[in-house]
Amino acid sequence: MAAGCGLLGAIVLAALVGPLVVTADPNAIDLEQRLLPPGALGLGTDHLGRDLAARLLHGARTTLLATALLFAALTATGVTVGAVAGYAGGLLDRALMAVTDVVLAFPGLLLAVAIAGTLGPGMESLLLALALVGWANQTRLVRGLVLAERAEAYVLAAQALGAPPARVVIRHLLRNVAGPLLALTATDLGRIITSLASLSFLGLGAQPPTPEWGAMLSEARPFLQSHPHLLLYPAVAVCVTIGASGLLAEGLRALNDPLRGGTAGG
Amino acid sequence: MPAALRRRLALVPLQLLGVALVVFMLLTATPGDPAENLARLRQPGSEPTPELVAAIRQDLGLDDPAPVRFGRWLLGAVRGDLGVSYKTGKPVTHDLLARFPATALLAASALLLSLAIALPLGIAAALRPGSWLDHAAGSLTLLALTVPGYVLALTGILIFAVTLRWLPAFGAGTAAHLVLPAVVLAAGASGQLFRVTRAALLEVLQQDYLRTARAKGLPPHTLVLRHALRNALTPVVTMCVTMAGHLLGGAVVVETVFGWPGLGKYAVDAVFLRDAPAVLGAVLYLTAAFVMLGALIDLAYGALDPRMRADKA
Repeated sequence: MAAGCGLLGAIVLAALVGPLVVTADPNAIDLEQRLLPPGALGLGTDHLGRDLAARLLHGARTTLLATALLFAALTATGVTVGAVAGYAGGLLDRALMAVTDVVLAFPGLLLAVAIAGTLGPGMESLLLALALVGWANQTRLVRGLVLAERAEAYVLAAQALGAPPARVVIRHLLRNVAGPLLALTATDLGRIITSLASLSFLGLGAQPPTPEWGAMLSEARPFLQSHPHLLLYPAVAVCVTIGASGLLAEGLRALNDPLRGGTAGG
Repeated sequence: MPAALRRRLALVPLQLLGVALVVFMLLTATPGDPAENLARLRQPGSEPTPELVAAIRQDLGLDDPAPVRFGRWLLGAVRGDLGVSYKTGKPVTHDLLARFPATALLAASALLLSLAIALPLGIAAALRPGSWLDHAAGSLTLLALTVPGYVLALTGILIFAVTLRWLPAFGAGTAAHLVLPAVVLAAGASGQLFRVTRAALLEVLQQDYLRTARAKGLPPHTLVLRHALRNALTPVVTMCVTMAGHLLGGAVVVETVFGWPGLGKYAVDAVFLRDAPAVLGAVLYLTAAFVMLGALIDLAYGALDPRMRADKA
């Protein structure tokens, strides 16, 4: 937990402050300075003479911003639909869960490729595609959590006092399960970063010359043999970020253990 | 048939219809006029004449209202007619069938490999939780789940294809070509399988009936293999099926990195060529296969778990 928080904090800090320290333009092409080894100019330069350290740090901004946006969108959808389905129950629940199951049945990554391709390559279409295929997972988790909590005494008490459903859910129920909820949804972070970087690697996300880790890896591929360090930096950056969010999620889960049957039905 | 299972199976047509609807909407949303694309295919080299485009438009009924077109397209899809690829000029179904064996081979190899790794490790770790083996396997799993497939793939190419020159980095044809992509896919899969196997077996091992079995003096291997494992297997099988589906449909990245001529690479290539019928045909068939696979396994649960046979729920 502490390690995950620290690592992730360090990455966020690097993304925020890093570009202020390494002031080189990440997109400035200088063909005379191409493929410089690390040392002379920080981490060296890529095949177009662009500063690798600057690209890596600006890439962190791209990755973290996209991850945060997607995570927020998925969590908002998941919590809304999941809470409505779990709390309302009955026909509405059945209908919403049927839709959720249909979406869960798609091979997500492939469908995201198809959607992003249809919309035209770009970060916006990639985010939209991943949001469209990804929301069902968290919805199921949240619904299970709400369903298990619905019969708790404090929920019944709030209902007995005449609180409208929206108030019961938002003020009482969700606030009480916020911890386990966060622990459940945080497990999605690593998956989000992986799919974002994977599809960018395939050329569907950030378009050149935008610095992004997946796209950097894909651009560096032809130099795998001669300059493997071009691949090393973005690869390590992606792995460390995924690892850090994994540690964070694991820590949050341990913190909220036992989950009070939170995964029942999920 | 148990009610839960009936509900589950009733979902299958709904799922297939949902898939078809999404795919059709995407097909309609794709920029570019399909009639124009087809005309270009029939008259390569020259710009299509407006008459030809209009004729094709008439021919395919592209001016009909959307629900009519959806109905016709669905009828065609059910019969295996997914239209013609703008790129190859062949029926999409033909292309898909030609690519399917490669994907199936890769998915099956990866799944078998991950089972061969994860099952023994998971059992050993569950029998001695906290031992060095448990810790080592747990750390390896964390590593396998952390490193994204394409990073692992590039590392594998760098070490075994570029540096050591033991294995080919690209293409298909020989058994050696299969090794790297299968291992990369199996790494992530065995990480998940290991966790499920270990957790399920640990839980089962704590149950009363196993203490009874131990108390009556059953030898350890009978205890574990006959009594414990059989009960722990259900979540493992579920995981395997989910993974088989993901391997069939989700090997997009690995197939592309290794130039493996399967469905995933076909779909990605088609995306970049703006070959809408090919992309959506691939998505439709893979998803349909995924959904059917899931339903079949739910039916097979009865054999594994007698409780699923009773009409409860």
